[in-house]
Amino acid sequence: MFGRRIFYEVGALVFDIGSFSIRAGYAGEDMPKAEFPSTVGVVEDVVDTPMQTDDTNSSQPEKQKSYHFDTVNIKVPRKGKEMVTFLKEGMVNDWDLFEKVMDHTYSKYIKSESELHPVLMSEPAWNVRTNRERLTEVMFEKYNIPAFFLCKNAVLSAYPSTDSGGFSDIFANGRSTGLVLDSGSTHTTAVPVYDGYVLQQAIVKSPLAGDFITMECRKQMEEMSIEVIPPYMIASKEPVQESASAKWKKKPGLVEVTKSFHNYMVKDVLQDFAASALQVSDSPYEQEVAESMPTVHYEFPNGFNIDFAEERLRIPEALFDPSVIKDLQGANSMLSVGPVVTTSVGMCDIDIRPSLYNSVIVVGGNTLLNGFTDRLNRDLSTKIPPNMKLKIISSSVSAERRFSSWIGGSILASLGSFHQMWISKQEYEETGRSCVEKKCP
Amino acid sequence: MASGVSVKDECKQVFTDIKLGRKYRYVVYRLTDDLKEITVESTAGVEASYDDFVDQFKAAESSGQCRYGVFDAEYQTKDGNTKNKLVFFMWSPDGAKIKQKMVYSSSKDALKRALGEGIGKEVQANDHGDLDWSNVKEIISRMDRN
Repeated sequence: MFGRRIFYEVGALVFDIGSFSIRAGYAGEDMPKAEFPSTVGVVEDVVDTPMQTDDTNSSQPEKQKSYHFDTVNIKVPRKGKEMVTFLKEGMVNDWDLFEKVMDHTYSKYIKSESELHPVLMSEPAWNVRTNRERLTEVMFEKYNIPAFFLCKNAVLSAYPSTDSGGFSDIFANGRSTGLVLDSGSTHTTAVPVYDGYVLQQAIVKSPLAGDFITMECRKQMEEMSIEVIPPYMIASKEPVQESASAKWKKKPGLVEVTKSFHNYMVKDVLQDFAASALQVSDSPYEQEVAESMPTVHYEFPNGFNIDFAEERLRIPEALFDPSVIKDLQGANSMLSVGPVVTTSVGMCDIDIRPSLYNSVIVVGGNTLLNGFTDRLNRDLSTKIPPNMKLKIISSSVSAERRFSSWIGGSILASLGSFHQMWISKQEYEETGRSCVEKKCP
Repeated sequence: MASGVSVKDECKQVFTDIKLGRKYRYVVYRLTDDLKEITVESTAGVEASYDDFVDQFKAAESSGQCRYGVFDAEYQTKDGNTKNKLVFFMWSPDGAKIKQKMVYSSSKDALKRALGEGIGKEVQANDHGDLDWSNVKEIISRMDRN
């Protein structure tokens, strides 16, 4: 009785889980209460347990893990801290860690009992049944929530923050049919949606995305013999002339960090570099054209600074033409952004193709690269049948764009009429976890 | 995926009047202000034109809102025959408020289900270009056998 009554009176929660960050907050609000990285710092401390009299469980040193969340916290160097994520291809694959993340979200941001609030959660369009059922089970059994709803991110609405994952937007863009092109950190995907339903068999994925660009930036730095020093190592720096060796002092007494931590911090610098220096060429890359482009000056955290010229265009070109990638096995078989779209549309019924091309919704952190949408527009216009109209939609207001996914969930879950859509705890108890397939198609 | 919004009985009644009785040229549907129900906003007699219909949509747009509508379209096929088709519109202008877009998109299915059989074509319109008669005509004559 208690649970049922409360359920209509207390606000629902919306969790938008992306491979780069998690957004969480109350339905009906304009902005999520929190946005924090999906990456977690895990330290395994070996604690010697005091001798116990019971022989069966004595003398074994007990391993205790501590978890570090949030942007500031995870960037603090700690001995033995491994940077891990609970997601693989956008789907939860480390359930223990997922629960730790949820615990943290409830205690730090929601600051209320989980059994009081219905939860609406996003999921990738390709989520599998076993995974969805397990998620449903965890939310009802562990968090004892009164009601649950799972939403395909491509259908919902919104915008994955600085990087991939989260809800994309068909509904929030006032459509029920369209193609969502989501280029995030781990993959670029085309998800066709028809009349509010994802056409599963026509989803196309490619690994050419944000992480790939970061990796290419890293290769470029190695080629130019630039050592990327992340800020955690730096105590002080002095201004130096362009291209001159950096003058910086290493922080004394740095703890021994793990490779995953160091790589994470280097990646952080490279991502900043990519966002500020890279430029997608508006037509297929040509060296002469690239060399005539204005250069961009970039200063690394240790003070080293240099102009970047044709590299600015060459690095992101790989997203649109994988043949420019050096020494990468199988590069030619990877789909670049344009073909990801055309292949996906090509797998859909001929009758709906025009409406898909008429609503190509571009989302994901990687699409924030300068010139991304313009180039996509150009590549697609040359490939689609002349009788079809191409319309590419990408939000330009970055704050709204960052959260529009979460916002879509927030609106839906706050609608008075939505209460009948939820899977209630009672329904879950009666039919078990398989109810999610029926209630949240 | 749906919003759970309900559809007033009059929506279906008016649609049936068009479908079977040719009583109106078009009907415009809207969500009530509390976003709980879909209701009939306006209808117009058979003498009304497509432009009149579009004017209704544009009026909604000026207040940041979306609409649905059904228009009884009469057009010439390639071989000169005159055909009629009931065209369902979802008008969700790109400049509308995000809440409007979200609710209209997620409730469309409920309305279409309530109207039942008889819709010949559907137009998803997000800008004035999509509303152009030439565009609409192109969509409705697509897949016509003759």
